[in-house]
Amino acid sequence: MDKTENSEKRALIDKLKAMAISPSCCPELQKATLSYLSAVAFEQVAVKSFLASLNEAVDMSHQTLIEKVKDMAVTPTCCPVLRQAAKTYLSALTAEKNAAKNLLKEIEADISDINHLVAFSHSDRAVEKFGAERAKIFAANADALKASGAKFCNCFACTTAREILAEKNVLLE
Amino acid sequence: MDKHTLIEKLKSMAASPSASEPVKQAVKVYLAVLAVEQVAVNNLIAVLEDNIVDIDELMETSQNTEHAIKYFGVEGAKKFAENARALKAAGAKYCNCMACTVALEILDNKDVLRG
Repeated sequence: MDKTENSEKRALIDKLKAMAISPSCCPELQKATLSYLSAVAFEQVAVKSFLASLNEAVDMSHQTLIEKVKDMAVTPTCCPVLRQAAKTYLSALTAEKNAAKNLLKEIEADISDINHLVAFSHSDRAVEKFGAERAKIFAANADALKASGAKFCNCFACTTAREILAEKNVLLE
Repeated sequence: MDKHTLIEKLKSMAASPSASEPVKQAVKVYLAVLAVEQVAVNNLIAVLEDNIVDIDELMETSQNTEHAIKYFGVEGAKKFAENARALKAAGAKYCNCMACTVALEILDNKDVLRG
């Protein structure tokens, strides 16, 4: 089996798992699906055990563990309490990833580039927000920052936001 | 950067006066959802630990003929009992069904799952 076939099979198996644990899956279909997934899982465990015996320590990534939780939840010997705990965890994980995506979108939209900062610092809104004297200092600082070649605002929120965006995969994986 | 450090950065960014309201709100929502996920993962780990069948429990279940027959039928129950005995004789500490095998693998890496 080549790599494309492998990933197609994996995608299909993921669909079967999602279907089998969905509340609207009828018992007959669930039974047949679980039986098939169980056979596939046994085969995978056998292969992995063999590979593990060749190279004892198996460190797993978070993604691999999530796949294992899914595999376990669809085995016929998984008790209902454990299956429910796995389902609850997987739903919470999906919600977390969605919240992370939304958060990153907000952060990306919110970082001020240098032109935006300079324009704001010279605006009436800056005077409203900081008062005339502080707005003058703010505008001078923004001009100096642009002259130094900076591309973004250097306030604490924007600086931290850029550090977070540089590591966004930590939140998404 | 690890996830814990990144979360601390999110909190300090949200607490800064120059962070916008939508960002503050998105951080709040994210942290709340993350807390729910942490509860769910801790619950899953607790249920995993509670539900792994050790070899003596497996032996006991396999010897309870009535119970085993109900699940596996007469022939299946016989095979189940033979397998349990062979597993114990081989020095196994836990049931080797698919769910228990995968559960053990997950528990061996539970700190990764906790993130």
